[in-house]
Amino acid sequence: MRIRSMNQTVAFLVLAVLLLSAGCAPQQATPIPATAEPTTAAAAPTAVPVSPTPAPAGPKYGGVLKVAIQADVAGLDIFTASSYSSALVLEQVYESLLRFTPEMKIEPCLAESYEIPDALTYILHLRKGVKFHNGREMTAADVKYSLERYKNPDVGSPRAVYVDAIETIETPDDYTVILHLSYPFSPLLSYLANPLLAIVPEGIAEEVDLRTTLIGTGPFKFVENIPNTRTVVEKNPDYWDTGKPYLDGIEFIPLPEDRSRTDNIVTGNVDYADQIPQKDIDILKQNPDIRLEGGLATLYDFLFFNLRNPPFNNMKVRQAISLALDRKAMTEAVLYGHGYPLTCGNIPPWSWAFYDCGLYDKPDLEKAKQLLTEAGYADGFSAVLKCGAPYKAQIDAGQMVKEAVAPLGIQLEVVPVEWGTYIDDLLNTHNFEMGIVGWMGATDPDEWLYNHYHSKGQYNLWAYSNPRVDELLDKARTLVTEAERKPLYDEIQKTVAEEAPVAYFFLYEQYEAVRNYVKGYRHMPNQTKITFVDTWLDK
Amino acid sequence: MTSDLLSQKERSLTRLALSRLARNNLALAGVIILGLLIFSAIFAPYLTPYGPTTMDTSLRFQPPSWRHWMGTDQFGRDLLTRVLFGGRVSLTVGIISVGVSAILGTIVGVTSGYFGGWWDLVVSRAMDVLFAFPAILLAIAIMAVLGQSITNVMIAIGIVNTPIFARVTRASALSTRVQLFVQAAEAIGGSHWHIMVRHILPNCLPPLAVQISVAFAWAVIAEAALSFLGLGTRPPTPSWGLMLNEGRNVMEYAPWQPVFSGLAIMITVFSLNVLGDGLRDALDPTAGR
Amino acid sequence: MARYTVYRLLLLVPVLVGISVVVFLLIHLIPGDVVDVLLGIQTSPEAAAALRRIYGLDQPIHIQFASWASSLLRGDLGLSLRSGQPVSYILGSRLVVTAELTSLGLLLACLIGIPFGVTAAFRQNTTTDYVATSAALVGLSMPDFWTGTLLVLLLSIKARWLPPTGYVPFSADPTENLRLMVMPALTLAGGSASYIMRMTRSAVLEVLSQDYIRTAYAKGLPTHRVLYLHAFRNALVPVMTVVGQQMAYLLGGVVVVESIFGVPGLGRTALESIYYRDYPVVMGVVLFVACAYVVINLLVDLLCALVDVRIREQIVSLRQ
Repeated sequence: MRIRSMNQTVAFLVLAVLLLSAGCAPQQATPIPATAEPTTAAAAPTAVPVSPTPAPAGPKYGGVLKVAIQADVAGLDIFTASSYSSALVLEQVYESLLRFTPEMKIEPCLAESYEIPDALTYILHLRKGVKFHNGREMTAADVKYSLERYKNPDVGSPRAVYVDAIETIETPDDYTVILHLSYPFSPLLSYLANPLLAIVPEGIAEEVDLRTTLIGTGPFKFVENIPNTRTVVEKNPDYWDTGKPYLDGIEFIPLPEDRSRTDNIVTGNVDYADQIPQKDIDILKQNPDIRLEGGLATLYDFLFFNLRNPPFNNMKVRQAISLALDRKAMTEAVLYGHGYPLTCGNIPPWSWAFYDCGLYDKPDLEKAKQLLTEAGYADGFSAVLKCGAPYKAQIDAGQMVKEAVAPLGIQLEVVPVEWGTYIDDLLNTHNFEMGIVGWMGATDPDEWLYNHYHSKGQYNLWAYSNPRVDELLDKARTLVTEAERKPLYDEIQKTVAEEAPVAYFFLYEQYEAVRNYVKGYRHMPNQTKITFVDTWLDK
Repeated sequence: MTSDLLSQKERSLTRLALSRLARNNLALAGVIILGLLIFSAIFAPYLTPYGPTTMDTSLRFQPPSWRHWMGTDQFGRDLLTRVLFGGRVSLTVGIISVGVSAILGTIVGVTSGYFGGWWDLVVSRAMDVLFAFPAILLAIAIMAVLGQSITNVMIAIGIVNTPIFARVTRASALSTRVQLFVQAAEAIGGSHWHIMVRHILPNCLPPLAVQISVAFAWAVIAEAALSFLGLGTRPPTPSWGLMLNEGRNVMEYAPWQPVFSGLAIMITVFSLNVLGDGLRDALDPTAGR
Repeated sequence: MARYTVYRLLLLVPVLVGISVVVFLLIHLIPGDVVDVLLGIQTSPEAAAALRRIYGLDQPIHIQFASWASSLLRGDLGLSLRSGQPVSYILGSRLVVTAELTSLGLLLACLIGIPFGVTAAFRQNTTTDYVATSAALVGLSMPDFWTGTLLVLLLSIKARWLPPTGYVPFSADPTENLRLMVMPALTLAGGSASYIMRMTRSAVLEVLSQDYIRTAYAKGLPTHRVLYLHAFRNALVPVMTVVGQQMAYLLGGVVVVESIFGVPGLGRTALESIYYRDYPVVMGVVLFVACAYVVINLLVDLLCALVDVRIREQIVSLRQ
């Protein structure tokens, strides 16, 4: 099987500016393009016509994009950072071998093409002439160094699991990297497209403090990070995709107060406001100076049970609670209607692996009561429901769960737990009965399901274990095409919904608000901001 | 005996103070408001037809009306009901936390003032330490250690308030200790315990009474502040601070929510403050104005 | 005087040691650590363990404390676990913000509190007095987080005069900086203004009842000369004491106010660092605030001594 992937989307992106549509139409994503030819033209970025056309809507150069973000930027070590706010900055400075398009298709980035001769071998052809911000050219040695560093347990990267399957990395020449896998792992390509699995100069970690010195290949160079105040990146004039970026720089301003982001975009103090709170979506949609970009995202909130102990080791108890929930009312009250009630699994409707078993479409208190009686809890019980104190939606949802199960005789105590403590409870001590968390999903169904439901899954906090599900999950990883994988993922989602180790609430709609003069920007369903490279200011 | 004479004098002083307090209109108003608050907190279930946590998502963000005097919130809960029930939280936290800190603080303060020496030195330095960082930050750190619950709120506020009581009673104890009647009691061989309880403590009571009303007011604010910061009372239990926090998030939809819940805090604190002022004036013999 | 100052500063040492131990213990008693918060839920145990090794969090607590304390003695506050920046740099950059906020707050509080206090005292038992005293009582009873919320509701959401929250450095945009600082400063000033007003009023009343005022009147001095030359000057000492106390008090008040208004000062930093279990930063902030608190109180005492001979004598006799 020979796969190429395309080339310069540059010219198309210029076009896309003109065609820019408000939302991102959910499309069937194809992570692995079936066929293609290798294009030599792709190797020469100079061949790309960067809008020399005097078209009135052509991109304009210059200006600094002021971006209001929700959380303070903390922790900028590309290998260990995992917070969303850090990622926003890192994505501008660093790049990965591959990347996603706004349609969630995989396209080349630092690797201009790749081949998969067999399920255990990935050959990547690197783009030539890519320079790091320190002026050095990127070569295969840098790729080898970076990926090995991610895998190194002493580094402590949360993304070590992404590259776990890679056994050895071979570099026959400066522009070729061959990954030899120890087991078939079909999600690998989508992981290689994760902007946080970036390529850094060989040996950099031994020379500088990666938390404060950021050297990547990205369209923007890191300037400064003043915690709680601003983080600044500036244009990389030597960016490999000649002609880009259009912006002189980006200033990220942390405004944790929801109200503040909304107000600052309304008054025009910022050009871009990230993560518009659900309650402000309708208000902002009526503002003629502002455009909302976004749609159904990958973020979802859900309830989970500790299957280690009674009563939640009893499937019927879990089913009863899940059946008592009115997900539509929850979406309405908690998300002001700007979400998608999850009545089966967690994979969003825009993914090819979406599956709706319809088990929890409507609350059914009678059936729930009956299940509880069968489980031996006819009179109910009491339990503690923990949720993350910094997340208002989790607390709101918790209060609704408490009211919803009260008629079943289940007395819940909603306990918002300070975030660090909560993580300790979940990961280290397993000190919880029921809990609510929000989760940021990804793109490949394996990412949505494997680590949650495999008995050895890294995020299987609830200790769910079903040999059949394990088998299906393992098998799906070795299959390559969507058509082959889909039936397996359908069965997994159905089984999990039935056995209810978790009860999903809703998927968020996520919007960012931009002033009308911000052009070229496109929303990414996975919430990355890599399209800032195409963004320009029409003013 | 001295103690009999003293207690008689004491009784008349108390009567004098009470009559002064009764003549102070503002303080009287404080007492009446406080009484009403206690009444409405106790009888809250009989004063409204709604439950404090009952949701009705078809009635979200209703403005104040005859059916819902203070409107409804994000989940369609009746806000008047929640404000009335919220009084229970504030008053309970106030009474228990102040009770704990007053007792602990008085024991520490009286003993350190009376005995002096190394014990006094330790207590004084410990108080210096506790006073040198912002009270609310200390309460926040304690809550982070203990976890979010109403009991822990009481513990945190109790701990933070204790040094103030210790300081107040220590000062009184120090000044009483050198008085003639204490020296007389020591001379006739009264035990330490007897002297502290019968002679020192009664003289600490006036400043203690004032401090209790001040600390109570602070406790009400601190509970609200901790809940406001998401560290105090657990939702959906109605706490004024929690409601204010929720209300602040939905100000565009329901401006009445932060107004009413804050008003409840302010009225309570106001009544305690004027009561404290009244007590201070009534108990301070030099306050002739 | 110098000996007194040195004595007071020496007293600071046991306080700082005590605070260091208490805060260090408190932060380590909070469940979870900086690694948990930094990595979040979507992580692996290996990653967490490796980071703990890097940060030295796998060491026993007394070793951690010893290494922190020994670098402190060498004048090094350490690095933030969360951002890798030096704590001294973080403190410095936040202090500018908090200093601006508290100075504005204190200035407002004095501008409101002192004139009203003086006026209320001069017109004791008139409507002016009652209105001012009642307003101060109400002001004292309003929790700052409510005042802040009401200000945002009225001035930002309803009237749209001021931006609700946020921060812009003064150097970047002075007008916007001040516009953003108005509401936090007012919120901070509210309680203090009431307190200063009440203290000023009673201090002036105290002075007015003194014999020399009566003498001054008897000498036939015009009323305003009596008031400003004698009454107010003598009331200055208690007022200054209160203002100093309020300054120290405001340093605590900024915790809540900075959080409400998203002002990146010391208070919010302290709060966030507690959430992140970033103990070098928490220690830095708390020790700094404690020092500031003690120094401010000392300065107030010294200032009072300069103004008032009686206090100076008291201090001197105290030392003997």
